[in-house]
Amino acid sequence: MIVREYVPGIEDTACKVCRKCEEICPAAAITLVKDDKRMVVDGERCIDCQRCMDACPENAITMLPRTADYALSVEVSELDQEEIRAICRKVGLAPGEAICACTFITAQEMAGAILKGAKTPEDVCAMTGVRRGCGIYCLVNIFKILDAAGVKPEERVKSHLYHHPLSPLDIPDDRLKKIDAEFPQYRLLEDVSMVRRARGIGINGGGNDHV
Amino acid sequence: MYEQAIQPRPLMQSVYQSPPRKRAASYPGFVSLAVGSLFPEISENIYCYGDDYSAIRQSTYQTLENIDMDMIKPDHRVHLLASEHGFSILGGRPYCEMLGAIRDVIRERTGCENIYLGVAGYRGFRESEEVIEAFQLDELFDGKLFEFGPYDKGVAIETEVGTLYGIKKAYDADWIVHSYYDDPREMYFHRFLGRSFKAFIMSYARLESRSAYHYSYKNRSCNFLPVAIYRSPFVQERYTFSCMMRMSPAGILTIDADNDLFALDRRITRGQLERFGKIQQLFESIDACIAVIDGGRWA
Repeated sequence: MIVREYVPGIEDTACKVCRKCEEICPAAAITLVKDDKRMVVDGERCIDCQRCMDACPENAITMLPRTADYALSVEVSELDQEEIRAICRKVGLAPGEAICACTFITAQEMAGAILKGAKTPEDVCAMTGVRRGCGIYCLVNIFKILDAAGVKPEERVKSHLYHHPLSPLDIPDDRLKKIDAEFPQYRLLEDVSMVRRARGIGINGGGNDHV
Repeated sequence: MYEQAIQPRPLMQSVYQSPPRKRAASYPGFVSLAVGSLFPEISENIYCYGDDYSAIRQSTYQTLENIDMDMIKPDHRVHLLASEHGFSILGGRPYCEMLGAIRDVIRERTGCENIYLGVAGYRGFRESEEVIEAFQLDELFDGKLFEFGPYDKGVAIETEVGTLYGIKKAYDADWIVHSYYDDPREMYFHRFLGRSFKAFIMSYARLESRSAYHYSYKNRSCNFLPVAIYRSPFVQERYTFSCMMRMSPAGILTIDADNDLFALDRRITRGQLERFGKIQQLFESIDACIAVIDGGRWA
């Protein structure tokens, strides 16, 4: 859960409609009104990260105190717990594990957001408040949870992000062993083995091999 | 044994931090303790404090004598890639001096004038701009500089661990120079693994790849991601050499450079373990210690 205190206000006369705010908003809360050629903020989606204010080259954005809807959270108790556990298991995360070091939002909250209709990383942010802090480190987990829930990449066409669920599990075994032989100090094989054990798969796809 | 506390340089003005009302060093009773008085073997440095940066320039010139720059032709475009934390090490001026000296040596040796400084930001959109203004980098580089950060347009870099995303603007040059520092900053030992490569993932890469480094790989294996970027054909086609400000608990040890970043990294890792390991042991042996951080960029 996050508590939102402010919402951005855009000064139309100062705004040059460069759309930088739209591009960097983690929750897709700022959009262009084409007919008016102006930017509008959806206060429901805004997570109060204040990144738009920081990025605006014209200083056209001011954070205004919110008057209502301070808290933002996903209620997971009303959802199918086994479905949540299954999604988390696929990613190798415990449901109650905080996957964002800034907001402490958990894997089950993110999975819950998807079960409640989130289709993009921006939807997950808008529903949970994740990425409100640094906005960077937890991103890969959002991609992974969307993938684990079976949300198709083509449904993410509006995202400004590169879909990037990069995982050590993506490295083919032969290449992994080659890298490990050349650079044993990085313990790549050992760490990959650990990740695979967390997901219940072995180094060659079966059992929990110790490599 | 105890000297009056060395006064730190004034803090850079920033929208991201409120300056402390008073610097710790100005409180009565604060003293400076020379590291060499505790560990005589850790007393060597070319700079620790003060306004004389000539030793930094001299050391940069000296180390670059052995560097191959033949690949740079007069009509080429060269990017000196600088990372933000360097501008907070010992007040930031030493790093600026090293960067200026690298540019001068390249110019003198190759006849190339198209040498641009790229100033990487961590995550705030105004960080690089603030650094450029605070250190008058625009003047130092005759306007030949640019800012870049994790939200800028990316470029796919194919590596042996998969596709990673660099910042297009940083790599849009014939050649790049990795202009970095080895200040450990993070004193846990897994961050000593491939320390010299870290900027390839945490300065010159998009936010998605930075996220994979911190949250998808484990603490040791994640350090291979910047190595994989460095080894990629995309980077090797542009890479010239690395020049780094090597740190010691006693100040700046030297400026070191190499065309082979692996060779430089081995020297750096050994030096860090020898010198910073003892400081870590020292702090572990103190029963009660209050650390005052009154000027950290992200404190």
